[in-house]
Amino acid sequence: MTIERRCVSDQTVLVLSGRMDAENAPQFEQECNDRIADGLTSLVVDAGELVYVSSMGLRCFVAVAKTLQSKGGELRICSLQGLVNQVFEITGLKRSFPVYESLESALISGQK
Amino acid sequence: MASDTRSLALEAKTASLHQVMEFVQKGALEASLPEARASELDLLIEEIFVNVCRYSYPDSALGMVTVTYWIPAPGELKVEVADQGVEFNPLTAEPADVTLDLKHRPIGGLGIVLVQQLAASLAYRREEGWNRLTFGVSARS
Repeated sequence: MTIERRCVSDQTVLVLSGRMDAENAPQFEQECNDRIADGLTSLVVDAGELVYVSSMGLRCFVAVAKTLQSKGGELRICSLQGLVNQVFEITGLKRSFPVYESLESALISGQK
Repeated sequence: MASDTRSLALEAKTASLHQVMEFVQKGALEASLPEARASELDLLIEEIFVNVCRYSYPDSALGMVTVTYWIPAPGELKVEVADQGVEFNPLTAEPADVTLDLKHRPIGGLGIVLVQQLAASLAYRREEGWNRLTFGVSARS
């Protein structure tokens, strides 16, 4: 899995590509925690190129989202597709996080 | 007619995950599973194998896991994951509450939800100190 960090409209976007499984999920959580340590309180995750996620990956999403929520911010996710979308549906996480069809709509939502 | 079985025995450590996935994907190929089912197969084997790695052998440095597959019919794959760790039946385990909002959700517990929802069939037995969990993936589901 690759994680690309971008700054778009003054918001931090992490673009995930590939597969997130038990072996590399901690890498994603570490990246998020590093950004939070830098002062970030909200984050957009672009999952458009993410083709696989297991429960270990979901744990990281939930943990990061809870941390951001505790700081008054949020984790927004966009562009879920295929198996990843199915996994988020089955586990109810599409109702637990703000989920958007596109990066644009996720970014608009973050503009206050 | 059912095919021969293929088995792989390995240490129950997360670092072996990709080896296990490569192994069962041979079964997916032999069973002519479509790509969507093959991806679900990866997820099922990961959830079950990682669960064994994390919980089956709490007092030991390492235990062994045996992964076996066979093809009961074209388009059908059966996989058994067997370990000699603490008794654990995923069929009777309480799945996480997927209706909870973020604040009230526990961080874990979603692996069992995925296994219960994605497997075309799921069976467990405890036999002479072994946990034997068998799941099926079908081209038709």
